[in-house]
Amino acid sequence: MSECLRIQRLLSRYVDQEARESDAALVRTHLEGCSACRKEWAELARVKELIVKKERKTLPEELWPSRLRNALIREQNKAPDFSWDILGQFSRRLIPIPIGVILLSVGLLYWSVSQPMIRISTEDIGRESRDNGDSPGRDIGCLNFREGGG
Amino acid sequence: MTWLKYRGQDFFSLDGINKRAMRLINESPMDEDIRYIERFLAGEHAGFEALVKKYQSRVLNIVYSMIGRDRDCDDIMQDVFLKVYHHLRGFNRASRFSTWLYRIVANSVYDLLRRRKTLVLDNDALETRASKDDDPQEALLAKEALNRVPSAYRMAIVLKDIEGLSYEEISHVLRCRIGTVESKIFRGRQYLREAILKGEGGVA
Repeated sequence: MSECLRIQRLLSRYVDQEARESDAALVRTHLEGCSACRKEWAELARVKELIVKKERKTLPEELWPSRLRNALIREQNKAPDFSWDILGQFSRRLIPIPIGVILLSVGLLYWSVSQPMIRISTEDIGRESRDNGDSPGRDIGCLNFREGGG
Repeated sequence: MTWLKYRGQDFFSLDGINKRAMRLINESPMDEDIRYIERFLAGEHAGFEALVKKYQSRVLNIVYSMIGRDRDCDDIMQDVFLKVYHHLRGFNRASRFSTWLYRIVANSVYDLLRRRKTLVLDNDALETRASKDDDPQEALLAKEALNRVPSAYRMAIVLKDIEGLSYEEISHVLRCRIGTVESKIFRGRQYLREAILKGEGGVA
């Protein structure tokens, strides 16, 4: 039985006449004494014969050369129009800009964080003015001025 | 008036055809396909057209056996030959031209089948155009049986039984080992046998 399995694996190549000579001799000898494998071989040969005999289409000689001539002319005349491809190429060229903006922002953020932080509140400025004997005024930011002037 | 490049050298030509290269091509013995390719590379469009004339029916038979629809066949054939036209300069001649061409055909067919997801067959496409000598019943049976084979196995069967390629050539076209080709043909024929025996009223 295992011999039959081995032969059946070789049958397809044998039917195609592409089996090695030693394999072909083995198959021939086996087929003489095994009716099951002979049936398998006959069916495979029939399948191959049907497909080989399947009709083929034949095209008029000038059909595709002339079609392709027209297709190539159309291709050459086709003006490059706006398309997603072009947009893609355009946008690829613009990629460095957002990357540059992001890097610059990160750099500025890092720079500002790394600076020593000085905190001056308007109260501090007001207190300092009173200590110096100045008239109290309205504190706006870091400026201290008197209302009414003078 | 154009400058042509042929085998790394620049040539000046009034009509776009490299006369010196053409003389060389016509004088040296070479394979017919290579001669057509050389003529095309020398600027003669007729070289490309000769290749198309030679292979158009073979390409159609492969595509038609795989796809089964005339409309899609035309699209694929145009796609295949335009690819050949644009990439012929890059053909490195490590394999035969026909192997290179069939590989392009196989890729285009698989692309279409992937787009379609499932293969839906037109009943019209199953109409046989067998010659008078052939049995129309048999031709129809063969066509229907072939359409029942999964496309991965069908391509190997078509290249073997319809185009008559050897196992080695098929392995180059499909870029797989000879053992894989053998297995694909073996499995494909199991499907065919089942379909044909059912069609003939036998027991599968």
